[in-house]
Amino acid sequence: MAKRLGLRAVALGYLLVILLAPLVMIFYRTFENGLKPVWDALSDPNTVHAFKITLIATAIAVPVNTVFGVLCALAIVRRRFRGKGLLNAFIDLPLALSPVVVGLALFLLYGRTGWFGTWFADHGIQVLFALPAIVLATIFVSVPFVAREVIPTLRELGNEQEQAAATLGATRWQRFWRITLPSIRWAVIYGVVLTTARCLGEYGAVAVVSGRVEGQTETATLRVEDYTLNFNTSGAYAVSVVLAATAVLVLVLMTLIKPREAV
Amino acid sequence: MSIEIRNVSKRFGSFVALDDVSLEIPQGSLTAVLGPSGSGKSTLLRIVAGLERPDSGEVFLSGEDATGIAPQRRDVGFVFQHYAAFKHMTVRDNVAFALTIRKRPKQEIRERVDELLALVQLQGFADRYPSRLSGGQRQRMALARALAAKPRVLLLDEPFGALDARVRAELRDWLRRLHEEVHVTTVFVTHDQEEAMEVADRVAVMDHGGLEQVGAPAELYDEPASEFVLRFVGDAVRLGSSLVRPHEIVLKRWPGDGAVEVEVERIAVLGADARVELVEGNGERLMARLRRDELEDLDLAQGEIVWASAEPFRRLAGDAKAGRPLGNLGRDVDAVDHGAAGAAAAEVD
Amino acid sequence: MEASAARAPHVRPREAARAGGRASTAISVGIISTFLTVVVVLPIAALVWESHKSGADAFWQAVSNPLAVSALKLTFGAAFIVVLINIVFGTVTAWVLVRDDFPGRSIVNAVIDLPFALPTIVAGLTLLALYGPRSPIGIDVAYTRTAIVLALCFVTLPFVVRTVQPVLLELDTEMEEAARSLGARQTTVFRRIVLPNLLPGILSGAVLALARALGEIGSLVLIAGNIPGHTQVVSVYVLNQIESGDPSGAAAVAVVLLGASFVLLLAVGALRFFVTRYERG
Repeated sequence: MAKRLGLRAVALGYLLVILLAPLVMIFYRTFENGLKPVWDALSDPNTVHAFKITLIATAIAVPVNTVFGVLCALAIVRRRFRGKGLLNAFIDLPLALSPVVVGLALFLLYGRTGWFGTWFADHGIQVLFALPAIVLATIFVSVPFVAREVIPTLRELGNEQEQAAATLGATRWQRFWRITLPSIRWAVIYGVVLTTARCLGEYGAVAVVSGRVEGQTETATLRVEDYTLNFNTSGAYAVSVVLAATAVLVLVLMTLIKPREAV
Repeated sequence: MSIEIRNVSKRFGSFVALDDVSLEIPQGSLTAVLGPSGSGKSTLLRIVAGLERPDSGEVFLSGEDATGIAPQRRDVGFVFQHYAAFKHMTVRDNVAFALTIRKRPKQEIRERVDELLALVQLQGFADRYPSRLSGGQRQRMALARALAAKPRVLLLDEPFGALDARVRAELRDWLRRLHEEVHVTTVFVTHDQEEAMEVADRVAVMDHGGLEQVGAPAELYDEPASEFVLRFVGDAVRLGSSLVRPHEIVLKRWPGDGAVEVEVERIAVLGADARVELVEGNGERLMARLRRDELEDLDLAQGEIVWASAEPFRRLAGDAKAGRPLGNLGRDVDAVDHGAAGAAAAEVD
Repeated sequence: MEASAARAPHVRPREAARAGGRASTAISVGIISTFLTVVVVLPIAALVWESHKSGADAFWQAVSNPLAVSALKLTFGAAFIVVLINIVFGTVTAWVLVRDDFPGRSIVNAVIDLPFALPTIVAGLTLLALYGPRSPIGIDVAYTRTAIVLALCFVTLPFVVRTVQPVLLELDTEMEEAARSLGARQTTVFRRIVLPNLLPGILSGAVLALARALGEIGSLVLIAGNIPGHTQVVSVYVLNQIESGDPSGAAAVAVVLLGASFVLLLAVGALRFFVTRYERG
């Protein structure tokens, strides 16, 4: 009995120190000096723009990776082809890479002297240090999540339901829409939640490729860094608290969806 | 080691698993605890092993109160329905486990493991992992493992429940022979009455947390103490107003004293036996078991009307709750409340 | 004898379906591969190419300069420590969440995923607030290596917990009961039965935590101070090199990080494969 309490104390103590205390801190520090500094920071046009950039990048990356993730999962689980292992490895790659390395890779590819950079420069399209690079970076780092959630679910489901539907006369498209998609619905949603969280929180890669121009190519996360480096702590906390609040929302969603995801 | 269970009760939440159960298990016996699911039999076994603690009552092992003693120190061997094999260890390490943790010398362990593997006929499998064994082999390994430290009692919880019919039959046989060789007090729990009757010296029948009857298999079959035992240990069908066993029904083509008119609904040939499904005039269905030669003598066909009666000295009269009043051999059947029906039952054909 | 009916050759329906299936497989694999190539493979290829562009000497120079070496040493060292901490505390936490019951357990369980949900820069900021100069509890470890370990513990916390939990949930408690019935004390049961069965889960989590720790940047930029040669991890070093206009040097170091991570991950993967040999008989 004492051992059980002891273990419990160790686990909870560790979690308190590492996780909970910091979370509580943000909310506390942000509103320490009242609402005005928070409001000032959040209504600053550069900050508003930073949120906008983050949201645009997320709004593009999430659907793209969702479609990709579902297609991938279907191909990997349901089809036979060579190179499956390689495919799997490349899907997981963004998880293992440092975001800065991702940023560097994109920099090399799309910079003015890069492999693609020259082509884009010739056509007057700026990729690096502009929105396109931010979007690309965001897409890269959030590639795995939907696929990784849907693959095990699809595997466990098997395809008996689709086979039954086929014997009842359903076409491939009908089977996909009416059987496959609904049965992976929660896994997809969970994957979308994780992808969104990752997109909103991306820092390392965009730090490299965005150029960090205030009011133009800053994301919300870069804005926090900007404020901090300029000793505008209330500004940094203000933006952080918004991000933290979305994180808590994400957590709530994850908790609600996870049990439904289990087949 | 003898086991005495005294007034043991146990509940899980609002579910009463055991209600004031008392049972004695003599040294060296092979006892089956038989009952349907939910009867409390596994709980009873686990309490004897120390894996559960009773809410009230005591467990005595060899005369000493073991109720508060942890399973580690009770010197019991336990075999689980789903083997509980240590899947990350080889067969050898599994069987050796009890000795390894007692820090016995390596040579001793090696010899004992070899001895046990030979006993359970798994000699070539020592270095395999359980994942590569069949269910029957895993259970034999589990038995060897339980026997390694020479326990004074061997407890088996539905040991063959997870195995298919043929393997089950083989292992039943095998358990019996093992007991004859090793002579350790053995208690096993099962819901399969055939298994209990075939293997055990003594059978304890349980239902809904209570002990219904204890005795030798024949005793339970011939002299059930309650309707539950009657129905559970062997089949029972209702013929007219009494309960009889299917194979005791005699079919004749002419009416007889006390015989019931029935129509033949279906005849199923089961090899050496046949099962004849009958229906009474009032719509009640029953089943008779006939030998093939009996069936052929009668030359029965579907839809025919025949008369069914039960072998005279076994028929129960009156209220179907009665025990077996005739041919009683002096056993006190009134332990269960039969009222006067038992005594008045005697109707001789 | 049947009259020879229409024997016109035609593609049997099943074959047609299979051919159609193969075609659509080819299409979907094509689409997926193209996407992955553009988004993932090409950038990495560019990275590797760039690192070698100026020849082996330049590569070696970029990689062996003392700041780079110090950054690499620091990063791997910190990552190892953090993985070890995670293995211990992660397993304990998973154990408490699965085997213990206390009010608020489900909330604690949900909070474990916080590092997945929270942007790393925000995590860094709050760690700075809590364990930095204006710390309410008087602990100031900002700009030290301790801060690095702290931040990495935050971001890698969920990994081992989440990989061990399902293993614990599925663990056959009868194995533990069997061990007890055979005479094993509780600690022996844990050591000889539970832990070996948890090991694959622990190793999976450790791999994920390691990969994450080696590449982490967001949570470190604010609290680690990034003092070159002292508290500068590889990711920050690479960032610096890019901003100082030396992308090739940055690429070289990045490739070394990638290579070393790859080897490490393979090693742990092999270990896990070995540890689970009982599954394959």
